[in-house]
Amino acid sequence: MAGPVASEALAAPVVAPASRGLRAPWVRRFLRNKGAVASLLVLLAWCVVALLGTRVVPYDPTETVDLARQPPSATYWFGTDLLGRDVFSRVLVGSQISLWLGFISVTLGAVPGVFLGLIAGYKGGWWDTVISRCMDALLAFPSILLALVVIVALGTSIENVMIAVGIATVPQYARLVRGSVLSIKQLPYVEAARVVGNRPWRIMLRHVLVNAYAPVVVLSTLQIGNAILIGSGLSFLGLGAQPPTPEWGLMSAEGREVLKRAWWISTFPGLAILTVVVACNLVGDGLRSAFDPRMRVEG
Amino acid sequence: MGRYILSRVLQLLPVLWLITLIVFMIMHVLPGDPAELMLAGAEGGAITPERLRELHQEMGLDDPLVVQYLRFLGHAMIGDLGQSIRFRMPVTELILDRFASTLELAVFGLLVALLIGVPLGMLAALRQNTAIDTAAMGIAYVSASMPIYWLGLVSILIFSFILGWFPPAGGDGWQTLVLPAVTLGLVSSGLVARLIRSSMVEVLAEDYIRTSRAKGLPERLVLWRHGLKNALIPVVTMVGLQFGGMLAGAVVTETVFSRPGVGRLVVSAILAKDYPLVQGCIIFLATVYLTVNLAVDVAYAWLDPRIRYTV
Amino acid sequence: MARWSVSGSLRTLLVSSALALAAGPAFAQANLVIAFPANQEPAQLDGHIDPYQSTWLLNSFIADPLVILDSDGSYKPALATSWESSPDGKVWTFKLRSGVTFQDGTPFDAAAVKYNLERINDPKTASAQLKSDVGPWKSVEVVDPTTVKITYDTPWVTLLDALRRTPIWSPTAAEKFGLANFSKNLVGAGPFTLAEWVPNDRIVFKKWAGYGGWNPVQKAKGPVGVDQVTVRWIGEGAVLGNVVKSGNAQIGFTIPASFVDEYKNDKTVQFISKDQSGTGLQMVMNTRKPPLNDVRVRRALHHAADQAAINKLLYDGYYAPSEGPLNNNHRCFWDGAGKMYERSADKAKALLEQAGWKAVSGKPIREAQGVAGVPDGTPLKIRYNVLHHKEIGEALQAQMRRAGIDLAVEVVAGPVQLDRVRKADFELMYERQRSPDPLILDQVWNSKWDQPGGWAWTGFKDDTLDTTLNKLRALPSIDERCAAARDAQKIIMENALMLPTLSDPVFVAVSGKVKGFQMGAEGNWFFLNNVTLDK
Repeated sequence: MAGPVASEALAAPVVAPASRGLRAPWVRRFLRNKGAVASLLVLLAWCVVALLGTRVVPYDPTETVDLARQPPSATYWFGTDLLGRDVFSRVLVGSQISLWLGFISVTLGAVPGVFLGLIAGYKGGWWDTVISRCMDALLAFPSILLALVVIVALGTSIENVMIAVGIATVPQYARLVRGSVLSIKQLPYVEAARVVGNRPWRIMLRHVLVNAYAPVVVLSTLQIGNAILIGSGLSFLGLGAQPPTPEWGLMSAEGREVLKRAWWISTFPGLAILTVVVACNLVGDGLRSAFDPRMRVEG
Repeated sequence: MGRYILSRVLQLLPVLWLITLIVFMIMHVLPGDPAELMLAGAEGGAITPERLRELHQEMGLDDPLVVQYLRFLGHAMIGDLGQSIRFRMPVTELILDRFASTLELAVFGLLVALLIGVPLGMLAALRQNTAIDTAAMGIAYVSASMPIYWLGLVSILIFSFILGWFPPAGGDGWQTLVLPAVTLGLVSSGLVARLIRSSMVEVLAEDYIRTSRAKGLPERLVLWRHGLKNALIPVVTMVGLQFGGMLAGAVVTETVFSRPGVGRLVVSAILAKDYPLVQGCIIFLATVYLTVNLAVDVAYAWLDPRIRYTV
Repeated sequence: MARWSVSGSLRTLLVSSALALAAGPAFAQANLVIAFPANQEPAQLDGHIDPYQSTWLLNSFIADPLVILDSDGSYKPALATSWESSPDGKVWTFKLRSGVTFQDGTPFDAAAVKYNLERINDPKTASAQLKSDVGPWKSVEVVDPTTVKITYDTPWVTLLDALRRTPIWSPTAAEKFGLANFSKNLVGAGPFTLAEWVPNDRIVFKKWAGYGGWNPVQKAKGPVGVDQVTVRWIGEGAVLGNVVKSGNAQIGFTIPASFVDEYKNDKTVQFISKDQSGTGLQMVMNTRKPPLNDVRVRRALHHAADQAAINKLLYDGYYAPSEGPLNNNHRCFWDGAGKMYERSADKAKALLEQAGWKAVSGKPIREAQGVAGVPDGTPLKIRYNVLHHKEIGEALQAQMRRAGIDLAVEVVAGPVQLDRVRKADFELMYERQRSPDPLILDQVWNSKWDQPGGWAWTGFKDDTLDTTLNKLRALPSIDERCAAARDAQKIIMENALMLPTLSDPVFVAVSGKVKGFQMGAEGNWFFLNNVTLDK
């Protein structure tokens, strides 16, 4: 593709270390990064909470206790919301929805994105032109705008938010993988595999993809946080999760009118978002510098 | 350089065309007859079959989709994006009425992002692995990870209602711009600071910095002339993306601060199912975003002597 | 495309910043700032076209109507001086004020009134509401320059209520700007002129020096006492609730209930709570298909809902109860409505069991067993579609779940609402009519209005109900009409055709600096004619 390297900055060629396992140098480098390790623990803790879900919460997150806007107390640790539901229980159960939103939308973006990037990079020619132009067209929408378009087309629901955010990230993966593939394709051992007569698919999966996974992992980690933030923005606009879903974005948006009078309704779900997103960013950046400090991946 | 710019502009055209196609298709496969929606929205639901037929003819809805698309494309090329159902005004006019407000917000938001992000990132890079570094990066990570509407509301609460420094809403005068610009900028400043830091750390380890130090150049000169300048180059791309994102994606900020911008227009259009307006806004915003990105690429090529722009 | 638009906007930006700088000090004038919720902003500022109360209210700043509805609920003459209707209610004759000119110098006369009524009626105007309110007149006749006669084929007893909202525009200006541009250049004969309209942000009105004080509420005749009025549209409830306290606006109109406590005890602020008549935030039921085609299910909803608890929970009890198809404060309200269905989850459960919606152990939501037209095992899901006040739905959702009903709350936009109604694709649909006349019962419940564009949405047809409702249009005395209205309410409640929820009073906070602010008879109306502003 013509043009300066700048437009390829997202997809700097990276050859991931071939060795894996806990002794791999990148693991050791990652473990030395205290912030990243702490963040990973935070994320794991949220995952545990999400898996346990309703089994660990003190109250039914959708049942009202007829005491609206109670401040935090020994009975209701995070207070109660506008409808008299326990905010603490809702934040805990909400982790299921928000983390699920993060994971699913990243999967929905990564799988087709990686696939398209592989084809474009490996096949080249017409394939590359068509895919790259389509990805450019998608990249012409800032992610919130693209998500809005998808919501318009599919309607308002949490599932559609996942799809919307997923689609919005497809081009980022595609570009990233395409760049990696282009640089790896020329390496001697990939050439060798081709000369020996391996089928293209086999080469792509066994040699190319395996060596291009590092930036994909980094992007995915950063993207989980991003997806949760975009999802919360959509909920704020009334285009995301619908009540009574305890989605963090919706919860903190619902409490915004009484922010002065009952700060806890909107603040605690907001803090929950903050912890997950910060943790994702720190883990992502930690992984990036552990893999290769020169890697450029913007979430 | 001229040829490079020209070729980039030419590359933009198929992408622009694809955008119009995608958006047009999405808006036209949606359930619901635009004429019916128009009557339902505008005429209190009183719909007679004759009126519907008349409007179909007026809006050209009976023509094949291809004809409708080509007509839309033809009009779009001369700046006519159709007629809004709800406002009964030309979409282009509605957008242009509000674009100044959006542009203003994006420019000042970017300014804030740079004013906070660059010093923060540099500080962290120069005091690498110290408590200052940790604190600076802590601020950067937190500000980039906050739901923006929450940040906006808290800032309204503090700076408008408790301290009374700035008005809480509106789109006239610089006073109304301060809070939204700071909110929008603060979120981006976190990204800028992170990138500046990593870029600076990288540059500071380069040979030519070590050489200049060894030559005995004053530290400040080394940092300013060689360090920052080179560290800023990769940042340009990111800043460009951020600016484009602010122009097209300040939807939430505009809503929180009740600003008369294009983002708010598109959200209200989506909620009211005003499809021609949604379509026009999205094509417009995507075009602006692409144009900004193109400008950034060109600036990048011009800034970085290591890049040879090839055609 | 991008190039010219960007440069065009840059120009606008420069001009607007220059204007902003220049306008800065000018705010020292007596400028009254009124904050409105952004969702009340008109798309079109011309009330002949736009169907919203806020549009007509803003129009009344620019254009005096023929008659006004005074705070005491009586109609008083404004640009008309008197009127009479024929005994059968088919012919209305208005005497007009002489010596009035519009803001552009055009004289106001019978021809101008005729022009306005014809403009509203013109299909090209595509009037969304006023056309049907003013009604299908047969002729408008200019008897002499100060007399106009409107003739109908059927009695049209609600004409005054339509005319009090109808702005009388200058025919010259309306012709000059045409339909497309008049909205930004409105010219009437009211206290203010339209100075600036920045959609999504503000509307600025300037005092008209030529105003004669024709609105009967105005005490001192001549121009009004404030130089400028700025209406601001505020998107966030939290902001709207605070603007008067923080001094960013002098009047906060329709502030959220959660701020009432703050203002009620504030001596520096005048706090007004004014209920609206007409219907409450009512939810009409689609009786055409399951599950709401069964009256037992409809009644179960009534037993399961506890409006008073919702009021306390959500609004500190500041909303007004609304127990039937007309608001409780309506002069024709039937007070049996509130007593008909006792609040009892057990009664609701029993009715649902009878109707074939059985409780399934281990599941919170009931399922169909032998309900006609519904496959067994279908959960009892009822959609609840509103334009706003979603939180009432959420609170109801919790109450309904106790009876085993899954209430799915969804906020829809106006066009979507009408689209679903037309396809009869809804269960509970928000429908509020704000007219103070009992005739609205006819519009909402008479099966003859179950037609495209009509307001009878439930699909319910009953001859007794229709005959009773027909009286509302024919009987001249208000007492007889109220009696008919009460009979109709009883039938509607017995058949459980609608679920009443609360009624939202309009809460207004007025800064102590503002003197002479007057609310209308309805919460959605006010007069600025006597307002003065302390420096």
